Amino acid sequence: MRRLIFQPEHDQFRESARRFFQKEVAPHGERWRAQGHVDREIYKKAGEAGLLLTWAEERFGGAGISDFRFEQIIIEENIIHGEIGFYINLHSNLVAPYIDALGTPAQRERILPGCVSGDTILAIAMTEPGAGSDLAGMRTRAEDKGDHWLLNGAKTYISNGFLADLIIVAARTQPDQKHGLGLFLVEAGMPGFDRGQRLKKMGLHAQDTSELFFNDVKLPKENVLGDPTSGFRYLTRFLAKERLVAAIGSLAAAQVAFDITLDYVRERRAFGRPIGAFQHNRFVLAGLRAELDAVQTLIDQCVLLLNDGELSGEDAAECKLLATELEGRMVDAGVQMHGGAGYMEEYRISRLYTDARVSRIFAGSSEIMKEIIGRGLGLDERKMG
Amino acid sequence: MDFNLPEEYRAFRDGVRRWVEAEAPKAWARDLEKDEHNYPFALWDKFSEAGFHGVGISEEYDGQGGDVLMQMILARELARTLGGLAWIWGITSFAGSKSIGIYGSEAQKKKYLPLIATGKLRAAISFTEPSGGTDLLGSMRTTATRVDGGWRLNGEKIWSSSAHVADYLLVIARSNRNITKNHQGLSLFWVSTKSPGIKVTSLAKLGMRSMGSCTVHFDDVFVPDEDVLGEPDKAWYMLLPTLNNERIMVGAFCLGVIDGVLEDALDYAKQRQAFGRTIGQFQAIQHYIADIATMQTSTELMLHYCAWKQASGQPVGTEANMLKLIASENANKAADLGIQILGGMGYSAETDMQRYWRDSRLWRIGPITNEMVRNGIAESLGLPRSF
Repeated sequence: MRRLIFQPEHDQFRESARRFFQKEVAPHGERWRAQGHVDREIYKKAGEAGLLLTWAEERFGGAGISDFRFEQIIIEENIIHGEIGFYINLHSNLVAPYIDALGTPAQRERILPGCVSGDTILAIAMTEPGAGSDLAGMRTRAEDKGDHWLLNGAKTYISNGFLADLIIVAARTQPDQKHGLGLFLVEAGMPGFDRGQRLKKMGLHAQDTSELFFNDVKLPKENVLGDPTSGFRYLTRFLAKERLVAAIGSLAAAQVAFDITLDYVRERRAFGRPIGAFQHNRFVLAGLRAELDAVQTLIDQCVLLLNDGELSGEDAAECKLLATELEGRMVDAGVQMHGGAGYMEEYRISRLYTDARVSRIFAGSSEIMKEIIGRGLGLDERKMG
Repeated sequence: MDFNLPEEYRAFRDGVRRWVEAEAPKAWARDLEKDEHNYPFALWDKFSEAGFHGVGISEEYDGQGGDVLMQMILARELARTLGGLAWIWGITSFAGSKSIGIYGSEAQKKKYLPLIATGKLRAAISFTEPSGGTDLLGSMRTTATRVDGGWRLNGEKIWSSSAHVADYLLVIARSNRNITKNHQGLSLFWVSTKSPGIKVTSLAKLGMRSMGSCTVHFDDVFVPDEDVLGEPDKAWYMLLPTLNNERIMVGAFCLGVIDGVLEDALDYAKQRQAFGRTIGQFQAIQHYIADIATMQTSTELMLHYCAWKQASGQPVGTEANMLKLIASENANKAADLGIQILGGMGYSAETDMQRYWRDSRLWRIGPITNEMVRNGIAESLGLPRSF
């Protein structure tokens, strides 16, 4: 189905982004998956090509484009033609916006130019070993010591955690307040900051995921982001966008899985016919095509809502829930139609399958999405008594 | 009607369970499975010491005795911790001991069954070909040509699990082209992997790692007459008991996976704290776990029924298909729910849930896709062939 939200300038941008991912990213995918992380240089190359933080102000080196469709195109093209483990989306859309929105003028001038050029790789650290989706259970602590803050604790499942030069770390600043959190800028090389091993995952092998440890890390006052007691509100404020980004990526991966599966069932023959000629396969793919078009339309609509500042947490949760669940069903059907070949790692559908499993968990699991949508309906057990 | 397992089966199950806890725990299985390129010989040797390769082989051939139900109880208990690695034991059990035991000659039984029963002979199965997958008969290009004193095999087989470490391969090939139907003119060969002309290469996989999924090339491989199984040109009819046994065994492996998933999911749900309580208190999590437990019981009933039917010599083709279908869908779904319950932990290679999920994914495809299984069930109800 033709997508209605793009203008000719978006299509041109998509063409040039596609060439970048095909030429500079895709050829390295296999090596990156084997080494467990992308090369640092790819961030610089993406920066030179103008593909990082397109929204950043021109004085920081960005293009000053507030239209999120351009970032949407970058996410889609990276997943379709580049490498899903290159977490350009995290860098540009999940971390940098905190600095832009919450940072002081001095912080923005100090930090954003490196993010736009790709010299500074970003990560954000919320999840802890004892608490996944439950931010209120956070144990990492930051204490105000007058002229500095002292950070102690541990984080886990941190994407880009191994490569990152600058990490936004959420920490408890008010021990007696459930929501008393602050956001802090931790820089590579600070004494007391250590990274654990890269965690072994069943998919997303080119994307580094690490544990981080903070042992009496002294943070200067200029490394506090925004108000040190408003971290919880900040985090929830940005979550809607984060979930839309996850939905965009999941649906792009699902579209890839659909396309390669359609090619496969057209060519693969059994019992004297291409297997796509069997009614079962035709019906499965027909149902998935209809769902893909429906969810893509929802996502595109939400991108426009985001552009207008109207994307609600519930809207984004609906997008994330439907897109990631559909991605899971699509890659599953893709493996099934590839048969034994679908189980072999050399086939892309096999990697799409293991990569996709975490989509229904990260950035808030499907169950959390249902909680958000359900509470939005007024069905909140905390308030219903 | 008595649904209770007889005492000797219960005692056997309890003994195997104790053995598995001591000798093949989950953490070890996880380590073995991480290493795609090293076959777990140590696991094979432990099975040999425990006498497991001899379960289902009669005592007169140095086996442990026991019927199909006994074999399936063992399969289930092994898969509870080992997941797909239980196949390390299973392939030789059905491809070797069942094939030789059911249609081997007395001389073949005397020669091979004692070697299998004591773990001195590993077997693998080489049926599928590159051009057809599930369409085994339509894609069969491997030929067997009559020569003095035996046959010469030429062709290529794929998805041959553990062929790279096997001593013998069970190979099906076209021995007669003068036929009216595809399932005629096929013969079954018991081929030593030391024969000149065999080349084996292996492929990396999504799951079932470390056991090797191989491509086997046969280039003028000589097989002497004494290693032809059953009557030449009539292999297809003989194969059915072996294939039914394989499907029932897949049902048992899937049930073992569900057992492992349920205990890990329950442990986690009872311990893990979030939002001020254990997550097992949330209704959604409870319903996931209730579904897994229901899958476990329904799969167990089907498994025991099929094993009893095959052990008592009744036709079991359709029921074996139904079991394979429901068991593999249940196991993969149970593991998927298990990952969801464990959240980020479930995606980490440090837990077993992702291993159960990746391993059980294969059972919906191999040894036969669930789509082909449904085709077969529908045909058995008198409907015309749809493919």
